[in-house]
Amino acid sequence: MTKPILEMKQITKSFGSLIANDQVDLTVQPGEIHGLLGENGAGKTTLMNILYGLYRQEAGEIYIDGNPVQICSPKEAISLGIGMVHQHFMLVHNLTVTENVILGQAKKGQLFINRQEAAAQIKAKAEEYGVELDPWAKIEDLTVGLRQRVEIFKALFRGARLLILDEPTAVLTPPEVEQLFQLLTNFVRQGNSVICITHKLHEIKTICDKVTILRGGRLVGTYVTNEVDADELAVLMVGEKAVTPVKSRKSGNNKVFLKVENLTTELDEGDSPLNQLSLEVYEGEILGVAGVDGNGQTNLAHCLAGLKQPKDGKMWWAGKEMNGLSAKVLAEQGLAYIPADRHGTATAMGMSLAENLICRRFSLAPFSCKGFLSPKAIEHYVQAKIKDFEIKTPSPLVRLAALSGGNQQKVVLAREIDGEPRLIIAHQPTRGLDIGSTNYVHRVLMEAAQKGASIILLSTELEELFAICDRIAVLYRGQVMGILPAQETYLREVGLMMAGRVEPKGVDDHHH
Amino acid sequence: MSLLQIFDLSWVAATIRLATPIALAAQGETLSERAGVLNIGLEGVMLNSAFAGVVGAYYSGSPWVGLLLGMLVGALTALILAVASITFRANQIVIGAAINILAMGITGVLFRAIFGLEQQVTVMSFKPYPIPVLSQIPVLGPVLFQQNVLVYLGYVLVPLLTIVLFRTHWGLAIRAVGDEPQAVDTAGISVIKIRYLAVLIGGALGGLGGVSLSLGQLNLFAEGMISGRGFMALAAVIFGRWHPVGGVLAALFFGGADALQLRMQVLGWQVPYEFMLMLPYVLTLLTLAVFAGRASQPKALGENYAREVR
Amino acid sequence: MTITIKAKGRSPIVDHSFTVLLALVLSLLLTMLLIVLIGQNPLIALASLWEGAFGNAYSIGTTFNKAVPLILAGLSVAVGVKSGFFNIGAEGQICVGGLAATWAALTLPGWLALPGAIVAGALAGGVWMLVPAFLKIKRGVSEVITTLLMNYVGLYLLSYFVHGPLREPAAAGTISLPQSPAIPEYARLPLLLPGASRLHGGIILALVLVAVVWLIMQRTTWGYRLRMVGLNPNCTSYLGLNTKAIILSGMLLSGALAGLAGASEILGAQYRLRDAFLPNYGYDAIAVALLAQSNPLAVLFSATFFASLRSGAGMLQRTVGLSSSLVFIIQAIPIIFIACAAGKELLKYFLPAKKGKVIKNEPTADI
Repeated sequence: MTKPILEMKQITKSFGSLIANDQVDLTVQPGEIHGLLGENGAGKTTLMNILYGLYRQEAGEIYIDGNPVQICSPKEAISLGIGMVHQHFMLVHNLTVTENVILGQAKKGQLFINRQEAAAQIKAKAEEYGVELDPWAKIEDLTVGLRQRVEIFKALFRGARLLILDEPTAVLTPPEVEQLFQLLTNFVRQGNSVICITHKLHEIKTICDKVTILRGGRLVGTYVTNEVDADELAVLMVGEKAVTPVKSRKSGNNKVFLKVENLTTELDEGDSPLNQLSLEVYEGEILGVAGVDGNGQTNLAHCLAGLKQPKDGKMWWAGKEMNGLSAKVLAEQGLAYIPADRHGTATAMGMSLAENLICRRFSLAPFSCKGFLSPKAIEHYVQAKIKDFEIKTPSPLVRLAALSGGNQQKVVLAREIDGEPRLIIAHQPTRGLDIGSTNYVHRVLMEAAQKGASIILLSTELEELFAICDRIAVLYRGQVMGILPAQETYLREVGLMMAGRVEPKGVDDHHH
Repeated sequence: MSLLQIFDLSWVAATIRLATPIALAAQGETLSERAGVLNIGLEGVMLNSAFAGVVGAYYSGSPWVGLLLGMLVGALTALILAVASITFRANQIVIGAAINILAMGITGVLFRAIFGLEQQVTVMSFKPYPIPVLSQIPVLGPVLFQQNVLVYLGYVLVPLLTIVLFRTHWGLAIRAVGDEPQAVDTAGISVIKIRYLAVLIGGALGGLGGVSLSLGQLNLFAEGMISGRGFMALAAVIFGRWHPVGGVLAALFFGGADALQLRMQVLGWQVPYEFMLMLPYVLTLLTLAVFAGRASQPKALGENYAREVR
Repeated sequence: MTITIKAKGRSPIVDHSFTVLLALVLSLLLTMLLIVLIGQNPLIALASLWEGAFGNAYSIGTTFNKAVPLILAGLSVAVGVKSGFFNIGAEGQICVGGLAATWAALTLPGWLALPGAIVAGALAGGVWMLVPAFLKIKRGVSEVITTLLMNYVGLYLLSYFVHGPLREPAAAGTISLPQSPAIPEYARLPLLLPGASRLHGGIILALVLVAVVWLIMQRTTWGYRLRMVGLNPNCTSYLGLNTKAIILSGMLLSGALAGLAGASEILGAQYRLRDAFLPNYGYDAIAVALLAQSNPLAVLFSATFFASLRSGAGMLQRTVGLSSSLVFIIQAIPIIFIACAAGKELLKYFLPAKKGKVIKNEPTADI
């Protein structure tokens, strides 16, 4: 038997109290495409970042070709023949493909660039792997799929024998996925290896020879993909969750409050466009939206919150059309939106706690009068909110940035859930919070539902969804794969749908 | 009066003369901005260098010593920007504005300390040096090749810088650093090293521009003698769309407009020559309006880089 | 994204005051060292600087007169920084503000002349900002470059008017200077202490505007919007506010303030329009705003500090024989120190954080 190209043994890494990798093993043979499967937060990316020298492991050893190695920086990883394609590409958009590939590749004493030669090499290599790549094209003119190809070629030209791809198909169209697979297959045929981080079961089945599954930072096991079926993989990935429903409230009544029909958005960067998405939310219901990040969650939230105009489709709330209403009008009429990006969108971290609390209402009485702010009314209101929402702060005047993440999120909640909103859109409201704050957020949402608000909770954490939602809709590539009751027995189905395993209900034409 | 009488060869010569300091400084600024560092303090760099050039020439009796000293001082002045903005991540504009103020102070104080109460000091400077053969070319020869050595340096510098920027690995790194420093960092190149070098060489070239004014044209130093040429070079870089050749063409255009208005004043024309002087800036603004959004300005211009730490 | 060390329980204002104090002390020491190197007595030099700026009623008046345009232009830059843009075009806005004020003062009748001229100055400064504002909002061109270019357009426009349409008519047989006629008495800002000093009403205008700008920024919904845009434009868009309109309004306010700086100088101090009548004040305004960390009340003090250097410089030259340019050095060094400290790297060398915690750098409107 040949020596494995990579062996990682008993790798352990923690961030604070969170153990991201707990004694994880991973072995990759030459000529193998190895899938690394797991939910968000299972520890896949951490493990790969250790391998690429971005993090140091606290315990465990790494062997390349059977030799023990210490990898302290990406530079060392590169020199060992490891290449990594990140989810966010590291390309200079103004430069050509060739220039990006040769950047930082000058040999000692080599002054001038030989573009013709480099371009010819790129072209030759592209042909060798059976894909097309114009060496003279500027990055900014390329599609996302081609940009990814440039990233892969950058790694190849740095002598990569082991290529790590982080969610490579998340941004690709189906034909692009096929070409990527072709490229990878040709790459490993020459004795090289690929590690492919993914959530998608059918991809693992399609191209991976073996798959290693992580769950909660621990190794579940390594399997030969031909010997397990996708359903088994789904169960292994999601695990037997101890779902403890916190639902001690009455579920929503049967009156539909929000109705979304055939919502479709334009293509954009970063998130999957919505493709004829339809769903309904009842009064007093919490509808969970499950799905891997980037499957249209942001687009859905933005359309509902009035921050993005859909290309097609209609939305109604309480029977009235929502299309065309601005974010401001919607907010005034009872829509609350808790964005996923607390720092970049939901708050101005440099402003005070008080100023962040009133930013929805600062132009209304009693907080201002004829354009002048009323500090007393603001103070009164803010003190009340600090008390109601148990925000821990030395004073209402400290900058929001000085508070903990949990308290920052409480400020957002206090602001958004003020005045009994009719519809609450909460996008990853507990991301990065500790357990106490997470429970607090859940309690607030459930109380709001109890009072009759309809809630859409978009989350990648299945535990969270099963704990507090009434029903769960699974989002995959901008479509609802199906809507299931939030009961433990459906956990496996949800896992399968998240991986795109079930045909979307009621939509027969294949997307894009 | 015909147009030929205005746009004659002496107008061309004056254009080249007036454009030289701006063109030289614009080369340096192009380099610096291509690496993502905006040097609003170019005016100060030129002032310090113009002064250092005169001091060097005064004590040594040789303009060459002045030239070297001027370029060295230009680089040292730019070093302030480099240390402050690249190492300490201070706002580049604030530091640039401070450099301009500082240069007025340093040259003013030292001028008085060294030369006493003189209003201006005259020194040995670069004389026009006709290049054999080339200067004999009819019409263009005397205009292009009977200049001083600093103008010839400009002739060499522009193609040289173009080659460096677009044909060498170092130039590739500079252009990449100005656009996407993170991509350069992950490619294993030091963003800090590249930016320091670009800013320092940019400063030395800005210094060359200052020296070309004090030792190449006016043959003297007087307080505040740069009088806006540094800012004009900044405009030339933008108008020339961050390309060495573009920068020279812009400088020539600015110089031409300047030469034209001088001529109109001399001829006693009742034309508001201020509008001629204004033209370069208005056109630069128009260029920005038209080409906005196109890939010409270095994307990371004015932004300091810090590696993401986790 | 960077990581900074923040100590618990110390406010940014305390941090900044400490930085400013440290920077001023350091720059004072450096300047004194420089004076020693030149071969003069630094204490005598500093004493004469003080004497020149605050020695008697007359010089105090001069100092505050010089402070007026610095306060107004400093407010202009400060409003910009707080609202998330960088106005380095105060120089040009001063020019057109002075130009418009002169024209109004020479044209408008009687009682209307003074208020009319002040309003004209503010309007002109605002209008001058329309070009950069348009380019920023509609075309995405950075205001840093456009306001800088507009300075030169403004300077030459001013030059055109003092050489052309607004030039003082020459007496028979003579050639007039390139300057406007003196504005009439009724259009001037009154002298506050006639006989004792040249202190004019501009200082009252400046003080009122300090208060007004503070009020706008801290106590009105407009100022709230401006600060929010300055700190996080994504957040204003998320709230459904019109981010572009807010930026536009901030830019116009900023331009108007700088325009007022030019107007008050003509109406209170110079009475005539000349070429580049306030040279480099627009760039000094950046330093004024930086020193004050863009706090309107602090602008008052930092502008006065810079003005005292400018007005004391003459005495320094006359009595000690040092170049008046020395004050430029005293101005520049603290700016460099403070800007470096604001770059979040220098401070930690001086202020080791006790019980500090590591937090992610949030977007701030610091300069």
